[in-house]
Amino acid sequence: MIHLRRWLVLATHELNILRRDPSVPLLLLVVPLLGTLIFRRTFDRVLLTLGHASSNGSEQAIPGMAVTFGFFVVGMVGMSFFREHGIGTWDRLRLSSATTVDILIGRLLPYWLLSLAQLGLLLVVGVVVFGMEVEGSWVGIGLVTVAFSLSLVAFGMAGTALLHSSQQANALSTFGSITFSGLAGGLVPLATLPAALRAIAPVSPSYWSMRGYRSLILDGTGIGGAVLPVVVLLSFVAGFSFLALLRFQVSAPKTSSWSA
Amino acid sequence: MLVFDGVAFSYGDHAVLRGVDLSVDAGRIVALLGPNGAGKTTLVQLACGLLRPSRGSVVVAGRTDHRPAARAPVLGVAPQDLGLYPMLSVRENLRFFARMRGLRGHTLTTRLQTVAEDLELGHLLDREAGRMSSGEKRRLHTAIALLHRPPLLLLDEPTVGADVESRDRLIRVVKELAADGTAVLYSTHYLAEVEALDARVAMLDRGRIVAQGSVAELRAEYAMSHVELRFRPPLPEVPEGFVAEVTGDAIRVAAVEPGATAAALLSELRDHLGRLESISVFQPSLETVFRAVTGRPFTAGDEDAGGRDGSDGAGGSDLGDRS
Repeated sequence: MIHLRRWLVLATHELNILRRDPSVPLLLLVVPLLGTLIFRRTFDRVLLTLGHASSNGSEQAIPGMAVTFGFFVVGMVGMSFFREHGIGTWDRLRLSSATTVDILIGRLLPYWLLSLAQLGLLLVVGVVVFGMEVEGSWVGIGLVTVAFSLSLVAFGMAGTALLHSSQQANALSTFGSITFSGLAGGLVPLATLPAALRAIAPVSPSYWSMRGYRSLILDGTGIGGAVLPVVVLLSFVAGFSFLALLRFQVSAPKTSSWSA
Repeated sequence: MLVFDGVAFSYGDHAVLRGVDLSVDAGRIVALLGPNGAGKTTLVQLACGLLRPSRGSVVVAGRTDHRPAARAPVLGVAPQDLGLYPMLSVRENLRFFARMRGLRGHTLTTRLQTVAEDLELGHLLDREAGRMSSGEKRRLHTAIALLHRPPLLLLDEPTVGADVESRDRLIRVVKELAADGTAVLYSTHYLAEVEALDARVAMLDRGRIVAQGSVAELRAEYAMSHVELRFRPPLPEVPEGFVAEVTGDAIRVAAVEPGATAAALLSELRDHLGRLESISVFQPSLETVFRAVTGRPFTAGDEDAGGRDGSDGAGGSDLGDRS
């Protein structure tokens, strides 16, 4: 059943909590923009050697930082569930009139919106402030962004289902961010990675989002350049969601460093 | 409103409840009394639908649908562990849970104010919950359960960590709610609270209800009152027909009806009243009743049951409460 009002109550409540946490904008926006400032010049020279003469480095730095720091949403999703266990409100939510599905949708919706806002803002700031030139389709970029953000939230939910503590969620977030982004070509252009790493790179959603962004921003492809990355990213969404539904137990005990 | 019918529950091989029959009617307070580990919280969780019985049934408002969301409309629950958002204000906590219960607009505002005033949170509405004292947090925790005016209220150890003022306030509110028709299941291991609530008592021990009744009924069935008279020397002889224990300067007489016994004793000892220093009536405490029923002290498996009230806990007198 669709309980739109309840989902909105849960989502706005979560956003109300998130807006009080200064680490959220710091981690999702400030640090990636600082990273762009630092790495842009280096990427400028690398992209030049790869044949992108008109780029200024932000075409690699902005999507790279977005994909790297976008991954922290995975940990945030997990932490939000573990926090509820830590402060004793998980059972209270279950004892409200909300069903488990309501709670999950109401909880995931704000993180999807947060992820969309983060990726969107970084891309806009990339164009407006850093002069990032987009050669291809903006619609395609939008589709990749939507699909990538969905895959992050689904990954977060699968992680929540499988993990048992907020520390584990934190570790997954940090490890996944660096590892997947590195493999995806988010930290350095994919072409500069060893062949062995390039071969295993497609196992992560980060790779497919970077592939989409690179194709649309640097190679100037039309909306067709987004099709394969979007399809693969949506497959990740389906896979993670299936795993989450398979393993998520509403009454499973979780430990958290939070307390009421 | 709430009926447990032969309810059993096990965690693996460990049987927590072994066939509990208990009912809570509208307008009644049932105090679920037992030491830690007796199965009180499990029973409350079964009532909520957070757990399912391995045997027997739990009927809430005439329905056996065990899903928490199905029971939620008639149920207000304050679990044993605090459940509130420490980073949000008292008002935001109450507003969120009220909205989750479907309250909105004027109804929400009115209920929020009423509940806040009932539990003396009115002046704290804009304070961050995490910055409140433990007693204030406990009041907020309980207030959340009352927001939607549930006809059935489950309070699981609602005064743990609360100060005396918060405890007294809470007991007053619970009695008012019951007077207005709310059915209340009040789980506790603080014996003094049960007496203050004037509740019907269900003693839970090792997963079984071992005794049920009003405090007066349990006292009458399981333990005797005592009348104690203290004299300046010499101590008079015990009048005939009284079963008494003489210790030092006191005569202690067992009594089913202590008032009548005291009057009879004073009449018999009228020639010695010039040396009478004091007369006291000791009602047996619930601890005494628990011991009589189970053969064990109430504090078994419970480290802090006596911490709140010496007369009822580990340090309590076998004689009970002086009145």
